[in-house]
Amino acid sequence: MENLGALALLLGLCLSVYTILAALAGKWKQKPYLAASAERGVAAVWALVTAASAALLYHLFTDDYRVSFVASHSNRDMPWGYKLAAWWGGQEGSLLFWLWILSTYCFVAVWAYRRKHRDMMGYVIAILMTIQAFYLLLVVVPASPFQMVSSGGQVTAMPDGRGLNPLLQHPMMRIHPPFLYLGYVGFSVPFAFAMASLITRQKGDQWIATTRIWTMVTWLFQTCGVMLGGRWAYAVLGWGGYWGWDPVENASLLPWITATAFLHSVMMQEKKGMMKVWNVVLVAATFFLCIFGTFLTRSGVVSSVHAFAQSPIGKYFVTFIAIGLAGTIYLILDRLDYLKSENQLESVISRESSFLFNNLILLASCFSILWGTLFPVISEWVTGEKITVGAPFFNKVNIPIGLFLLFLTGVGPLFAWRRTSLESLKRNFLWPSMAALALGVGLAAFRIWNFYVLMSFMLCLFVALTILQEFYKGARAIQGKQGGTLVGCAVELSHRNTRRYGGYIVHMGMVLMFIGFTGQAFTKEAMEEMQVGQTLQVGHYGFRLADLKKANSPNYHSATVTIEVNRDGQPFATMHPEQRFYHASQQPTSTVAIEAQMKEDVYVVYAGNSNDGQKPVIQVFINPLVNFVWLGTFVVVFGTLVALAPSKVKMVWPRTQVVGTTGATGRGGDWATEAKQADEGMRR
Amino acid sequence: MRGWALVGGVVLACGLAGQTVTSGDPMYVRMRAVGEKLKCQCSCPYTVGSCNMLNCHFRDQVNPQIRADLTAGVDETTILGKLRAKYGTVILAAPPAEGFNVVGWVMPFAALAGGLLLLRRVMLRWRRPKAALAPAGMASEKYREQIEKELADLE
Repeated sequence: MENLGALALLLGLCLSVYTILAALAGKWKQKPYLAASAERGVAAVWALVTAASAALLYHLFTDDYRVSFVASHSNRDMPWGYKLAAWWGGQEGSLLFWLWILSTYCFVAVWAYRRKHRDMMGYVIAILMTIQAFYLLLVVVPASPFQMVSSGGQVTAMPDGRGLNPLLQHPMMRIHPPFLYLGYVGFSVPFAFAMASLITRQKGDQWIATTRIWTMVTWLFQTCGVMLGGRWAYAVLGWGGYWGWDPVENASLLPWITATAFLHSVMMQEKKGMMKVWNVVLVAATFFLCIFGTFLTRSGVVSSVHAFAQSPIGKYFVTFIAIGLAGTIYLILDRLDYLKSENQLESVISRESSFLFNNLILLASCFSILWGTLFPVISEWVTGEKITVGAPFFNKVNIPIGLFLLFLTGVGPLFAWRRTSLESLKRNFLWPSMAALALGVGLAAFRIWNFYVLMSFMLCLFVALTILQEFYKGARAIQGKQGGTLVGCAVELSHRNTRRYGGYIVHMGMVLMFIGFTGQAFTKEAMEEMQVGQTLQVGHYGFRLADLKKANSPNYHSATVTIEVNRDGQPFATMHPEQRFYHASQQPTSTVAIEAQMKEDVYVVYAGNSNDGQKPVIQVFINPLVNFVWLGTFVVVFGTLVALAPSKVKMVWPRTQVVGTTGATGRGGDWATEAKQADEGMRR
Repeated sequence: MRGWALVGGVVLACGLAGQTVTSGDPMYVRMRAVGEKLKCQCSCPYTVGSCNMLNCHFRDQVNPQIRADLTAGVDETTILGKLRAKYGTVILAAPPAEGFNVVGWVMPFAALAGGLLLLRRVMLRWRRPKAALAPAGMASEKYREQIEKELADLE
């Protein structure tokens, strides 16, 4: 079976090279049979990569410890779910997993769009297959998942495997990496379409329309992946937080930020034919940041708890990124004439400007994170001294940027296209601003002086109210015409323009997440060596160590403490934090106990034992508002799904008409006109 | 009236939120605050304050030093300086704003300022009236031919 897997990958590499050549020759020589052959080549490569993946899974599930990857990342007593997770738990397997997702995406994209974009499909296939060929090269040459364990030149089998890293043996690890990879890899498709449109000198926005939904779905996966990673860190790592500004965490955030910027600026191109160069740059930046993130995780350039073992694949990535970047920059510069803006800016106070600012702030945030991640390497190179760039740096730089972004989230969507009148500004922002100021005064009265905390809560309220106001006004307009409940009308409103109102829901999700982030400022914690019967008081909560039990399972042995928690003297919960020692990997780990409430989480860690080994060390965190982060994520996911759903009324107008609603109507947005037009559309 | 009710509700809500703000053991909190400024060297990605590696050799070595210094009334800056002298600059969780490291702190804001300038330029360019642009399409061709014909007639 291992030969079958390795052979499938080798054949896949050869076939992907053939597919690139066939796609290009089909295009250049205008030979339809070669173009059709290239399309079939995409399907064949997918079949071969799937076969290789199935072979690796077979080795994992049959405990075949002759295969080096299986011996290093699995063991007999691991539950089947973690044997599946071992596929992406190590360097070689995760590259194969990445490749399998990429080949699946290519297959779907090519078969879905082959007729719609026949003029650029040849180049799309060539670009996607070049990326695939690169990953196939990696799994064939430097990082083969089918390498055998050998001793004295003979293939041999280990009696048992070393098992998956204990930190990865958590239910979240079964879904966090797949989501993240679905996000990372998915950005290859918009990149391929963008480059193909440049190569074929497309003047229109066809590639934008095609890839917008693709980008949104990919962005959704990436969002889920990043947040699931945060949830995993919170539930597993036991330090009470969910984001540590680790280089690998940062690497996952970078393409998410540029993709977010793209999802906003793409509206400028669709509605006004502006920011064409910028959109191509953003798509390319997102793709290369995905590749760069993979490089960071796997090359050993920066040290990280999330990184895979060091390997020689770094130089392959550097070469690929360098060639890819050079080609992309050349293409963009060469095709600047085809990317000229079709419109002009009429006012600084307009939706167009807010998009420009939004993009600038997002990119500034992206740059600061990238800079902070790489600065230790740069500094050591220049000064020869090792330094650390950790959470204090990232927080100092990114909190103000994040707050400004939150502000733009509130004001941007309420600015009208072209220009916004003063009257409209007043009408839209007066009450939200007053309410936010009142909140600030109230919080200050209760001795919450921290500037960022105050600003964050005030902005959260401001943005939430502006969004609710939009729903309210739109729903009232529909209610006035058709009757019904306000909630029903709000649903109807969202259904009529899913993209717009889905976007608002996403923004509301971000507000909830910011509330959760701000809650961190009020975290309370304590750590103590405790005897059975002893009590520890933290805030309103009392923690009594009731019991200590030891147990043994095939995979690990464990020590579990029972903690009885009371709140203001009343029984609240019984919690069981645990320490585990995994037999196969000989590694200890702790399992956190969390009692989640909307207001705050009670988070208890069995952090170790006293020096004499007699008393457990118990660490307690009270994390206020942290569940708003997870709730916000659900709302973001829901909002994105709403935005992806087709609108009830298809509203298609020439650009000039679409952008015609201005501040002259007295509305910040154009909800009233849209509602009217939607009604007319429905009647038609 | 409705607006004032909203304002009142908000003030009440933040009052309720404010009730929960209390502080824990002062020495632990101070120790943790210093620890948050130090990078743990046990290969974890966290600070000395947040590292929860079981029996972490580095955290268990540094924390008692911090506690002893804090108990002796040594201020935070001096403690950080002592630990830096002992373990090197790498122990500081953020680079000190000195020498080349100043570039590290300044660059994100410089990039933002540069971006703002660029944005201003782009906005000015986009706001420029397009009257100077030549008319396009068949109409322009027609007028050009007419102008050329009339110019030829003049001659």
